[in-house]
Amino acid sequence: MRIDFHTYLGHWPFRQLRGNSPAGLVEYMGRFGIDQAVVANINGVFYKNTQPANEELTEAIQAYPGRFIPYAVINPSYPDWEHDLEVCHVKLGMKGLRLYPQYHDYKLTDPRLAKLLERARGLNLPVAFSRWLVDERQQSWMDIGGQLTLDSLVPVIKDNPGTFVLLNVNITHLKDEYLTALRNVDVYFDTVYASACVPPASGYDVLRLVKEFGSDRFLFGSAYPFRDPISALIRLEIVSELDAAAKEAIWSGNAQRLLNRRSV
Amino acid sequence: MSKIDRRSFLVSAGITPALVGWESARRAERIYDVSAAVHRYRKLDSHNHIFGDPRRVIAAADRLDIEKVAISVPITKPAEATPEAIRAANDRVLQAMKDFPGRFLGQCFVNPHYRRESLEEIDRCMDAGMIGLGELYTSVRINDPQYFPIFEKCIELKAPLMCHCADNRRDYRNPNLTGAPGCEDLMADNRRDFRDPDLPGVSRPEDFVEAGKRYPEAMLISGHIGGGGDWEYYCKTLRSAPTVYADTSGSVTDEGQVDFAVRCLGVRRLLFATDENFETGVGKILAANLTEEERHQIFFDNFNEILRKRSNHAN
Repeated sequence: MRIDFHTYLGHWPFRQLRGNSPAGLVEYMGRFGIDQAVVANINGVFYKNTQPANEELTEAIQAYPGRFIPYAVINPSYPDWEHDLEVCHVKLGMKGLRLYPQYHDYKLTDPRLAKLLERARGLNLPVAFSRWLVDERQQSWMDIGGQLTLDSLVPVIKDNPGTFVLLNVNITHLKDEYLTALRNVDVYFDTVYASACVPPASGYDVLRLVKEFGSDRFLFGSAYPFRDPISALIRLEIVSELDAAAKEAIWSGNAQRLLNRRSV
Repeated sequence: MSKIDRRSFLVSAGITPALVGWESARRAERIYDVSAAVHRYRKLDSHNHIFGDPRRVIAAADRLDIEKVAISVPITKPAEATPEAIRAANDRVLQAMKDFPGRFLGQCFVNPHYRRESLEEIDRCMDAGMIGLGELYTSVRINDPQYFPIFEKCIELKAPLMCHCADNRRDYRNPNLTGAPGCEDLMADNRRDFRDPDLPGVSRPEDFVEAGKRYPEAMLISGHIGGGGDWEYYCKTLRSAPTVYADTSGSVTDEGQVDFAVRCLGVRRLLFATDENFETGVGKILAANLTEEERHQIFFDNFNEILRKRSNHAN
């Protein structure tokens, strides 16, 4: 079984995306043997009030029961997000959150974020941060989204109990203090920038990190339709050093464990 | 009257397990076989490096069935690109070629600012078996007159010349901007300074167009579509220089990137390369909407035709 923990639906204003409709994603999943995909609506990155994006997502995936696992985009700097979170969790069946402080323009030290993380933890919802949506070198001058670095993320993850997922993560050089901190918290990494070919020019050496953290911290992810769908698959296919159990955990086992946690 | 559906009928007939097996086999047939696709094509990597241990590059190439890897050791800080340092860097490439015969294609690095030394170094390296020049970096822009004798030498030797192409302005509306703010921390690796906005000699796509038009007989390769700025801007700009090649490397593997490059530049001008991004270098070509013939051309044939000019091609 394969679960892609990192996909999107919706419109990206600065470049044409293909495959960004429910049918497009299902086609991608069918072609590459992906059984389920964790998905969020890109539109929520650009809406001030993100809740309509979550509603759009719910409607869009209705025709494909069982194929998509929806994640809500929540903006804690906009009023009434507490209500939105409740609706997403209870009525819309969202299984986690994707937060975009670099677009909704709040600091990771903002007390409103701390409050959101506390609420998410209370509901047993994992919280995902993405280093970026597109590489900074590709960005339009209109795109305000910078990159979230481990320097800013690690203190947040360390100081706020809960479950975290880091998407598009780059861990070329992992400081010892971060290694210790990340070992002791409930954090997962997607494989978009994992590499089995050392030294990787960017991203991280998956073999080294599996050795450091164990294979149960990694989630197969493609970042489709931003990124090409095949590179993500090659990353895991060619890693002969990982045994079948470790690969199975990364393809789907870890994701299933996360998704099967009973929400409150 | 009770209705019986097809599934109930099949269950009652005792043939569901067979049907399920047949359906899952059909599903498996339809699923793209990544491993088979990776190994289906012969590959020549036209842009790579041995900044670290060359054995690791060979190991990565072996994982992905890359037959030969073009390597260089560019000195990326212009002030450090002295003739002595350059000679030492090229010696590392020559040593790797000796250590792994038939696997590495050496590319000679020079700093055109040192005219006489550059021309002598090209002779030395080509005589020792290198296949061309690369990855020429940011010492001098590719359209600068200091490059003219280098071009003429390459034309005489029928040697390709590959140069780093980058444009980090982000705000392309202003041609005078030098780089995008906030890009400094993109690379944690301090060996290189890819994104130093103050580098004076970074060659932009427009510079390659100008150089290509001045020397249409040169085999000029613009480095990494996915490695140095907005790839749509890059491809649209290079469209007007039909003699300039582009390599497909770089850490940016946006969906649609190679398709767009094919639309702008045509298949013949694209050369497969990884620039140390091994899995994605292969993945982006496999993911593009290409015919089998076109994929063979990009992975292998196009660069091999360039190598053939000096009889350095693979059989």
